[in-house]
Amino acid sequence: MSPPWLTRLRGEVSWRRLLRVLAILAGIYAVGVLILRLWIANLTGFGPMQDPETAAMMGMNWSEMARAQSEAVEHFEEHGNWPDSPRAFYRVEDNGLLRIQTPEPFVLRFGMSRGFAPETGLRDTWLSTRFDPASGQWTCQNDTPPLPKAWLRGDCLPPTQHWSPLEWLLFVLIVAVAALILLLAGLALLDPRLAGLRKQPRRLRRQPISELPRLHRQLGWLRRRRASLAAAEIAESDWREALSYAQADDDARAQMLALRVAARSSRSPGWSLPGQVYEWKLPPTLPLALDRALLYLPAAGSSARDLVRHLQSLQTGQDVLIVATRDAATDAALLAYASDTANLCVCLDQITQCEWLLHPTPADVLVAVLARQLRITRISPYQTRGGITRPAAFFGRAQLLARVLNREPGNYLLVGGRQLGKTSLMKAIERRFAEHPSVYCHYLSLRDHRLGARLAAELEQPVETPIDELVGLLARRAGQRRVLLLIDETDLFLREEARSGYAQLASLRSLSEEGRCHFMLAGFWDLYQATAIDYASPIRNFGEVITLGALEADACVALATEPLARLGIRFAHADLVARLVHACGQRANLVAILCQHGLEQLERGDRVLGETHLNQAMASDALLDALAGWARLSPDPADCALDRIIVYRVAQAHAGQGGEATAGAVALTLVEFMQLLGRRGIAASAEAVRGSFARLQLAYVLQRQGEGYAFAVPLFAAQFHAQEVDALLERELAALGVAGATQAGGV
Amino acid sequence: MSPIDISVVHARVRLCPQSVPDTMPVSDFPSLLVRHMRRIRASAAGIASEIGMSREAVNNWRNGDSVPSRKHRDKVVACAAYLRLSELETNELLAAVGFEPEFPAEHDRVVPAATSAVGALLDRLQQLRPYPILMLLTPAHLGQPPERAAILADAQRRYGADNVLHLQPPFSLHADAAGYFSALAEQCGFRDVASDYAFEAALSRRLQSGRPLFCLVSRFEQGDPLLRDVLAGILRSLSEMHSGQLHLLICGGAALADLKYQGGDLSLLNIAASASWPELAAADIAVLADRAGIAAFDAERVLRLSGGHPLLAPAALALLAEAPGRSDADLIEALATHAPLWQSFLPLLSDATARAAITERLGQERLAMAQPYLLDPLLRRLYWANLVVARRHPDGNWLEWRCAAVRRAGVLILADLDAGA
Repeated sequence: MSPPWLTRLRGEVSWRRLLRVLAILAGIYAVGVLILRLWIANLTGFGPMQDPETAAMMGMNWSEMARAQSEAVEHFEEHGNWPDSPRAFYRVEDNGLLRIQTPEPFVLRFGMSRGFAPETGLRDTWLSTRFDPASGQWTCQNDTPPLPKAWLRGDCLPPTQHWSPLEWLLFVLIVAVAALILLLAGLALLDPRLAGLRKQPRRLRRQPISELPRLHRQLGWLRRRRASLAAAEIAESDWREALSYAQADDDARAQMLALRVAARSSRSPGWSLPGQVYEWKLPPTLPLALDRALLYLPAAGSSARDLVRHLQSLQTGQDVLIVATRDAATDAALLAYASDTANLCVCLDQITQCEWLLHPTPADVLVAVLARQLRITRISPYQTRGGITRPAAFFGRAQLLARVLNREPGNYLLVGGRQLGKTSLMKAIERRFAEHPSVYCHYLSLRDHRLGARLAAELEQPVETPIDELVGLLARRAGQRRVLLLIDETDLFLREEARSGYAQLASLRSLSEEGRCHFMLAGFWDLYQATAIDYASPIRNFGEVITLGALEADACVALATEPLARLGIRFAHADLVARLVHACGQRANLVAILCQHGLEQLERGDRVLGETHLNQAMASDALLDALAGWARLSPDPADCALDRIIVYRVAQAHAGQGGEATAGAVALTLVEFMQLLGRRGIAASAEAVRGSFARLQLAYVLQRQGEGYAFAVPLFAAQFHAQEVDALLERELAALGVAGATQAGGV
Repeated sequence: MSPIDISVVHARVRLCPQSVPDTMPVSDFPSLLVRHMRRIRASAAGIASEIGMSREAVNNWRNGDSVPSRKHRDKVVACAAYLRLSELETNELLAAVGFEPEFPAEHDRVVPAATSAVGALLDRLQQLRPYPILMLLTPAHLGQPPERAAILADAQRRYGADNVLHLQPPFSLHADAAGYFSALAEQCGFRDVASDYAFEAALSRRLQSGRPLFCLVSRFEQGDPLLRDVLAGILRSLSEMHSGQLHLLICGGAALADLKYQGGDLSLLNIAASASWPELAAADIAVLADRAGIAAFDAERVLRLSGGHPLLAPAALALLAEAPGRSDADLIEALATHAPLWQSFLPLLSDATARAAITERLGQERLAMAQPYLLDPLLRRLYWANLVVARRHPDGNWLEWRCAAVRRAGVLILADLDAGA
C-alpha cells in the first residue's frame, strides 16, 4: 500500500503539472549553467572556444603585459619621462611568446610572438595600451594585425562591445521578466473578460464553453484560478469536467449534460437531423411538468441556416427538443429560432452550456432556459388535477406527515372530501418511506369494492388469492421491514363491507393486530359514516382518524409563489397572494388552478401577475369546473337533494348580502334550515339534515361560522347567479315536498 | 296543462323537409337487418330482449311483414347499437325505414377546420400532466366524437399506428363482465381475455413498451353502469401506474357530463380535463359550400341565421343558394321547420313544468350564466340538445338560444302542442 502522503500527493499533483515543473527546473538549470560558464570565462579571460594550451599561454602573456604596464608606470614616476625602450623598465623573459614596443609616450605595444601556433590566429598580432597620467588608468585596444576578438579581454574590445555576455544575458533576462510582468498586468487589468471576472466572479460560469481552456490558462498564469473558482462557487471537479466537455464526443457530452440535471440519457435513433439525438428521462424532482425531453447535438460543420431549416420541418410531437450548439457561429440563429415560443425548441448556446456545467444547481439553469424559450404553460409546475406526483409540487401538511412518519407504524383513517389532497398526502407518505430501513410502504388505489382482487392484481397473483396470503407476500418482499399499506379510494369497498358484514375489514384488523401489516385507508363519506356515525362499525377503533381540510395558509402562499419564482415570475404585490389564498379557502387545487390560469394569461416576456390576471382566473372556466361536482356527495339521492337545498339556501343568503366573496359573510344555522323545511311542509329528519351539514362540511363546501355554516371557499358562491339560485332552490324544495308527500301518501 | 298529443307533432315533423332521404328505398330495411344480424350472429330474441320489444315484432321486421312505426324509431336506434353498427350503417338502417339519420352524414355535417381542431385537441391532451386524460363533451349533432377518422389519423401520426386504440364499450345493458371485457379486448387486439383483471393486465403489458398509448373512448357513458365503472377504474388505475403513458380521449355528451359532475365516484373523470368542440366559423361554411358545389355564399349570414348549429348551417346555406334574395324573416321561418330542430325540442316538452319553463325562456335573450356544468336540469337538456349555446360577452359567458330559427321552432312546436291539446 502507498503511504498516505503519497496517495494525497497523487491526488493533488497531476502528471501534466509534474512535467511542467520538471521543464521549468530544466530551464533554470540550463540558464544557470550558461551564466556560470560565462561568468567563469569572464573571470579567466578565456573565451568559450579557446583550447587549454593556448589559453594558458595567453594567460601568461596577459600576466606579462600587466607586469610591463606596472613597470613602465613605475619608471615614469621615478624618472619623470616615458621610457624610449622596453629595456629601460622591463626585462623581457625570453619565453618566445610576447614582444613589447614603446612607439610613443605613454603607449605600450604588445605583440604575440611566433610561439603561438598559426591556427590560433595569434601569431604576429598586436595590441596597444595607453596610459593616462591624469587618471592613472590604462586603456586597451587592438592593433594591426589585431588579435582575434575571442582572445581579447573585455576592456580591449571596441567601445560597441563593451557589454559582456553575462551583462547581455542579464539584460535579456531583465527585459523578459519585465515584459512578462507587463504582459500579466496587462492581461489582468486590460483583458475585458478577466477584468470582468475580477468585478463579478460569477461571470466565470457564463463564458463560452469553448473559451474555458484559454481562461483556464490565463487564470493559471495569474495564479488566480483557485480563488476565481471559489469566488464563482464552482467546484473544481465541475471545472475540470467542463474543460473536458469541449473535447468530448457526442455521447460523452450528452451524458455530461444529462448527469448535471439527474436525467437518464439514451440515444434516440431514426431522426433526420444532422447529428445525434438523445432521449432524456427527467427526474420527478425537477420543479417543472416535464418528464421527458430530447437533446440534439448538431453535427460539426452544420451551418446555422441548415440547422434551422431542419428544425422547422421537424416533428417532435409534444416533446421539448433541447439543441446544444456545436460552436458560437450557430448560436445566434438557433437562439433566434428557439426564442419563438410557438415551437418546442430550446437552444443551449455556448454560454448556457458552460453555465449548465458549472452552476452549483444546474436544474435552475434548465428551468430558467426553458422558462425563457418555451411557452410557460408547457412546463408549468402546477398540477391542477389528481394526486400530486412530483415532490416539488407538494406543499404543506407537515404536521400530518409528521404524525404518520415519526411514529411507530399504526392504522390510520384518512377522511376528506374530493380534491382536498388525500391522494397527494398518501403519495407523499409513500415517497418519504421509499428506501426506509424499517418500513415498507405500498400505495394501492382501489377501483371498485374488491380490495383482495386489486391487491392480487397489483402483486401479480391469482385474483382469488386470500388477503392474508397477499399480505404475507408483501411481508416477504419487505424483508425485515414492517409493512404499511396505503389504500386509497376505499368508499366503495367500505360500502360493500357494510353490506356484507365487514368480513374483509375483520381480516385487516386481524393482520394489523398480529403486527404483520398496518393500513391507512382513505375515503370520503362512506369512511366518515363508518367512523363517525355507524357505532356498530368495526372500523371505529381500527385506527387513528385524520380529517383532511384546508391546506395551511403559509403552505398556500408557498404554493402560489415558489413555483412561479422558479420561472422568474411573481405577483405584483403580496396582497394579491393573500387575496388568492383567501378566495380559494386555502384549497391547494384551487390555488394551483388560479396560478396556472394566471400563467396562461401572461403575455410573452411579462413576468408579473397582476390584479387583472387574478380576476380573470377567478372567473375562469377552469375554476368553475373545479368547483362543480358537489351535487352528488352521497349515493343516496335523498341525501343529495338535501345537500343541494342547503347549498342553494346558503348561496341565496350570500347573494342577499351583496355576493361579496368573503368566507363566512352569511351563516345558515341548522335551526333556520329546519324552520325553512317546516314552512314548506317538508318533513326531513334532524338526523338527515345534520348528516347533510356534516357531509358538506367534510367535502369542504361549508364550514362552521359561529353558530351556523357558510361557504368554506368564498369563490364557491361565484357559480350561483342571484336569480337562478332562487329558482333552483324553489325547484328542489318543491321536488322534495312532492317526494315527501308521495312517501307519506304511500305510507 | 294537458298531456301532449305527440302524434300531432310527429305529423308535423313528417312534413318537414329533409326528413327522409330518397336514396334508400324502404324495402331495404329487412335485408339490411338480416345482414347485420348475421354479421354478429344475433338472434331475434336477443334483439327483442335488448330493445324491449317482442320477438314476433322483430321477426316481422326481419321478414318484411312489417316496418317499425315512427314511435319505434328509438327502438331501431337501440337495435343498431346492439348490432354494433357504425354511424353510417345506423343512418342507413334508419333511412331504410324512412327515419331521419341519427348521426349527421359526413357530407352534411359541418365541422370546423377539422385538422386544426383535432390538432388543438390532441395538443392539449399531450400537454396534460401527469394524467393525460381529456373528456371531449359535445352536444347533439356533432357526433361523438366529431371527426373520428381525423382524430384517429392524427393520433396515428403522433403516436404511431401501433399505439392507437379505439375503445367502444358494448352498448348492451345486460352484458356480462366476461363478454364486456372480451369485446373491449378484441378492439385492442388482445387475446384470451375474459375478465376485467385480464383486460387490465393485457393493457398494462401493452403500456410497458415505454411508448405513449393513445386511446379514444367513445360511447363510454352508455352500456352497463357497473361494468362502465369498472372500466373507468381500470383506466384510472393504469393512468396512475403508467404515469403519462396512457393518453385517454373520452368522448361523449350529456350522459358523460352527468357522470363527471354528478357521479362523483368515478375518479377517472374527476382527474380528467374537459374540452369542447369549437363553434362553426366562416371557414367551415366555406368548406361546406365547397362540398355542396355552392360558389357564391355569404358565410356571415349563414352563421347568423343558423347560429352555428351543425345541421341548420347546411340548410341555411342551401336555402340561400336557392334564393339569395329571400329575407331573413323568410329564411328563419323556413329553418324553424327543419326536422332536427323539432326532434330536439319535442323530448323536452313532455311535461307541463318544462313546457311552462321553456315558454318563459323563449322570450328571454339571455337564459343564464354559462357554467361548465349547468345546475338547472332543463337548461342542461337544452344545451345538450344543441338548442342553446354559451357565448362570450363583456360581462361574462351567457347561455343564449342558438338563433332566431331555434326560438321560432320552439314557438311553433308549443303552438302545435297547445292546438293538439
